Amino acid sequence: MAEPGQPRENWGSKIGVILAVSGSAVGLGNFLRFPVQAAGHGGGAFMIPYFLAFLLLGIPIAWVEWTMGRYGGRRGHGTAPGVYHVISGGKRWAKYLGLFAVLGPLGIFFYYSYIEGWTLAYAFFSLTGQYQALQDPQAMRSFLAGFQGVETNSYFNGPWVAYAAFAVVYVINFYFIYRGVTRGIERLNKIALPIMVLIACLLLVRVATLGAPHSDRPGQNFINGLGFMWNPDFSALKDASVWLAAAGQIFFTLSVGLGSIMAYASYLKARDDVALSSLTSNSTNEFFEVILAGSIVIPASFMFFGAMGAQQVAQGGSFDLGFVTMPLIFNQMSGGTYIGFLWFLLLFLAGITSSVSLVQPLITFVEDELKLTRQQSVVAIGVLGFAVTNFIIFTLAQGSLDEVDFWAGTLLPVLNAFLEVAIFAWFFGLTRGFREFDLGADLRIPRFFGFVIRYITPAFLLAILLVWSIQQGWPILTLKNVRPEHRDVIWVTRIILLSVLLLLLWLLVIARRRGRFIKPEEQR
Amino acid sequence: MIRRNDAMKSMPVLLLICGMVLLAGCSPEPPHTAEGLMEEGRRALEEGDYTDAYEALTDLVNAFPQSDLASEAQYQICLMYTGVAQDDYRAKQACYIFMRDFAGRSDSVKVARVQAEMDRLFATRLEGGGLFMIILSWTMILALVVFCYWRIFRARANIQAPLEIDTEGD
Repeated sequence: MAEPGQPRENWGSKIGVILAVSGSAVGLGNFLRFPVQAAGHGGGAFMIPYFLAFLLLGIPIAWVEWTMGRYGGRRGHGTAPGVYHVISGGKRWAKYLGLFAVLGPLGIFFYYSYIEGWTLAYAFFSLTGQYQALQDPQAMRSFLAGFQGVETNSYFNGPWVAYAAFAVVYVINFYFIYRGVTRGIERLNKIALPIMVLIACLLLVRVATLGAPHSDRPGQNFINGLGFMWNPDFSALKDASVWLAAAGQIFFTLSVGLGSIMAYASYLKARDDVALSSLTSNSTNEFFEVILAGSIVIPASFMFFGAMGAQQVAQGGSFDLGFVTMPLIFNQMSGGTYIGFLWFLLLFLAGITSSVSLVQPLITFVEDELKLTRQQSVVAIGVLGFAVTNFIIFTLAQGSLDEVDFWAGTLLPVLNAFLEVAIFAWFFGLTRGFREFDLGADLRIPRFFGFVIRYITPAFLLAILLVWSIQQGWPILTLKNVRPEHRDVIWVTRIILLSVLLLLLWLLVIARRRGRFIKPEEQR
Repeated sequence: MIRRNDAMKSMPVLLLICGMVLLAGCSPEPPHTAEGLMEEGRRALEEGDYTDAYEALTDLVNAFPQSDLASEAQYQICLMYTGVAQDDYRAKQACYIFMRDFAGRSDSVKVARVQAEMDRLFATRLEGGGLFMIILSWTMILALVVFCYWRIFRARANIQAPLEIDTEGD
């Protein structure tokens, strides 16, 4: 990120950018979403569609995003509006479509920073033993609901503790963003990622060495817990929803379609490798997700609650797993105070390395296209984000978070990824695309990926987009499952999101009037 | 022009694939009473059409969760997958839902029967297949991680490509 008149910033090292993208990808979903998805969709058999989606969806889209980002960065554009403009050869519509890739990550940031605050608060609760007396799921859920401010109970009197944690997390986020790519984001990830590996390994060793926590049930041990998680049920593969769940998991875990990778890659030097760096980030994410997260959460649930309890976890949601089931497990574990602290610290680090990447596209957008200084960018975006997140915090019980999550966290990333791949494969062209892949490359991308990128990946994305739109989108759009008394809040949430989109459109128009989107031939 | 043709050439293939995905999800409108759905489910079950039976009985459970027939329908789904249809994946889900949502208002014989099936389905220990999937998944990921980081730390730009990209198309 550069001050006006200065060249754009570059990453300090190759490992720095790899860890930054890995940090962006390794988030709460790795530890909370993947185990639930795998255990609930056929165990080991789930890995077949999962790896196929990794190969056909995750790896190609990541390559495309890295390459588009570096290409745009060379031309002074680090976010989708500018990148689509130069990649499409100056097509008039392209820059407007790019706005969705700025809105998407920003929308996720609006609620993600709040959830990140929960992890910090729960780390504190673990150390102070605040939930230690709670022994059943109902009590732990009540504790969580009180903390969130969804209900007033004996544990909390409103969401003020959660709010304080959010405020702390919010300041930390913007501190790293303000310090810039090299001194802020790169340094954060260089410290956080190794700590995360260490904590996850410690947790894994702790869970693996617990033996059978209930002496009267010796079968409830770590090995059989792995069996619950990994025993393949191949009949699950006949179910289309399992394939869709695997594709969705790969899509979200790699943080593709958000615009964050593109923004990060725009700070690469012209001849920095993208092919191997992208694959390394993806493999780092898979290491966290499959090997570490896949061996901790569900096996631990099985050991303490048995097969039925673990099945309940697998059928439940991610929040339930992270903030209800895991604290209950720690309460039954010797040294649970410290293990609980480490668990929530791990989630916090996973969260913050992701959340800084969610704000980066908008920061890059206003700096590149409007030439704002970093201070101006951070203040303007900080105020906007704070206002919207406050709305979400105080309307959580009415479903505002779920509404933003659907639009920004579910629909827009898939739409953005489709647009990226389509513009890259069909307008930029694969011959030029492969020349860009190969520029400074430490790894030659196999040529059959050309076919995958042109046909398979867009078809896969389009199918996901259509099925989700029909299955989830229509009921959400028509407020089918929303209580009548909550509808006003949902409409206000939509108006806020639309207003943010219009604000971005206005900024884009200003940038265009300042001559930021001249056609390539006019530039010559 | 070449780029436009590329886009147009890709469209029919994409539309065909997406059309197939969408058509696979189409199904006729179900009857709108619990009794009608139960009758349809039972008939399909007798005819050995387990997909239709599952759809009718699940529609019943979803549309009329408070009716007595919902409990019976969920019980039938559980028995279908543990018995004639032999699908452990769906059986686990169906029996779990029965125990979670309907055990409290079903007769004890049915609850005991489902509990017995659950004990069989969830008698978990690490099987050969599970061990194989762990070893396969872990090996693939670890191999990829080691390969990537090994290459990163020994990186040399072994492919020479021009810095200036030809912007005249393919």
